[in-house]
Amino acid sequence: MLFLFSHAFAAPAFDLLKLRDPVPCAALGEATPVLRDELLLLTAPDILPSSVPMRAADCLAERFAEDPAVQAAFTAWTLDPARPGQVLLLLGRADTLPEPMALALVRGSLASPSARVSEKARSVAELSAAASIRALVTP
Amino acid sequence: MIFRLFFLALGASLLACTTGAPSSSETTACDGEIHSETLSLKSDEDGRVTVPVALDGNDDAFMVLTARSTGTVSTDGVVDGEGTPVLDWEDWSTGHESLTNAFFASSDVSVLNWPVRDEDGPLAAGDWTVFASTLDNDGYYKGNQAAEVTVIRRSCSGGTPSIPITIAYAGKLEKDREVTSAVEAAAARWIEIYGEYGVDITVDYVSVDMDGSVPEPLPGADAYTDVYAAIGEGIVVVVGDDVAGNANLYGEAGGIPGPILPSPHSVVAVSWLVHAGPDAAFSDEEIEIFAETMAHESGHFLGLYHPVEDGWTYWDALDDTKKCSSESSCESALSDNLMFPYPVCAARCVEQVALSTGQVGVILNNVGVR
Repeated sequence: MLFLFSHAFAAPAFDLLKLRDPVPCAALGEATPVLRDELLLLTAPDILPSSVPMRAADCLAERFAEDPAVQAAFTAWTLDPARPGQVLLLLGRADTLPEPMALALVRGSLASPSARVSEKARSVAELSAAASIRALVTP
Repeated sequence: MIFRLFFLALGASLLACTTGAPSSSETTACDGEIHSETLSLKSDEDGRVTVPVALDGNDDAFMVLTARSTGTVSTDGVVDGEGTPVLDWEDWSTGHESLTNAFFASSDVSVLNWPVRDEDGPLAAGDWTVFASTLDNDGYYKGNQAAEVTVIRRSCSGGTPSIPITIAYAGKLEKDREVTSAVEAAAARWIEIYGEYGVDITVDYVSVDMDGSVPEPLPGADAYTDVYAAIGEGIVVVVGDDVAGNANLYGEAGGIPGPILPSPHSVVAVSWLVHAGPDAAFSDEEIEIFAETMAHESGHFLGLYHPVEDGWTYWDALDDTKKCSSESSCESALSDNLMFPYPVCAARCVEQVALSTGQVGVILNNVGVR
């Protein structure tokens, strides 16, 4: 259950992202480079509980989608065998990402070694409102 | 006019609304019976709805679901058959312990299960009264409003307590063998967790025609009304790729307690993907956490709060869950508790499967457990 207690807004990112119940990404504080870098570190696949790197990726997409460092990281993940789950997550919200970033994400995901990722990327591309992304799967 | 904005603000996004039409029914369950009665009532000029609850000597718990189609609704209190108040929302409005979300103003249904704790019972036969309220969207009482109230009484004098669980796959996940294997393994573990405390759960699997990105069980999630209506009892766990289009949560229950009638709040929604983690493949540890999430969120649905909320200044209303007040003391005292607010991990995560006697009592007092 969601609890809107104000004290949650002062805690470090890990302490918020580890909670079993939902905490909005906005609760992480201002979208500063420090927060971006902290979140990038928290996306490491070996961090437990594994919801933390997932939620960190999600908050990067929500809060830092225009950031070149984040865009580069997301694109690199499409070929990383340790990160298909994070890529699936990002593909699920591709329509909320800036088009150039979504385009790079879908393009990279179509070439993913993970069948689950490439199939999801194809589905996302086919249904995309952006012509540039649909064109990735249109003959 | 009493102002209820506090509860409105805190609870508006948490609770249920009923769009399905409840109907009278009477079915046999375990050693007792479940009696369900729907009443069309109207609040008085002060916004108070008086709900009669006639208990016989066999009734050991009841649930009152007060619903309306516009404005908001809350539950204010309970008076027993002798005329003695046994629950008053004002006793809980300023403290730091939580008993039930029924006090929170909801967009259109308020769910009270009574007794909540063992110490709130047992119930004596007699003509009890539950008081609910109709409010406007700003939290002020609003009089002369229609309310549809369902009273469910449980008489269950013995046998092994049991909860029917239905796991509903969204987004055609039933065809994904990796996901279904993990869910089945997690469900098996959930059966063990509850079984340790004498609560049997039976699990059925269905698929539902929903997108893989499932909504939170909040007002407007009308698909859940249809899902619950089709299944009709117990706890329904909807498994999707994600909940609400992001990774913000492992899972979410539709209320504390949740309504066991069709409504947008009548499910527990969980994400398989968040549990599987960055590699989208389930380790044994991730299956354990998946099981704990289903058991934890269902614990909310049955009436359990976190023993302590993150922030360490709000607690449940149970005497046997420690009232710690710092991260270190709470992790030391409660990190293995099923209802702890987060998994506690270092190189590995602590198994969170413990329930106190008081917590088990809350589960067993829910009329959904038979």
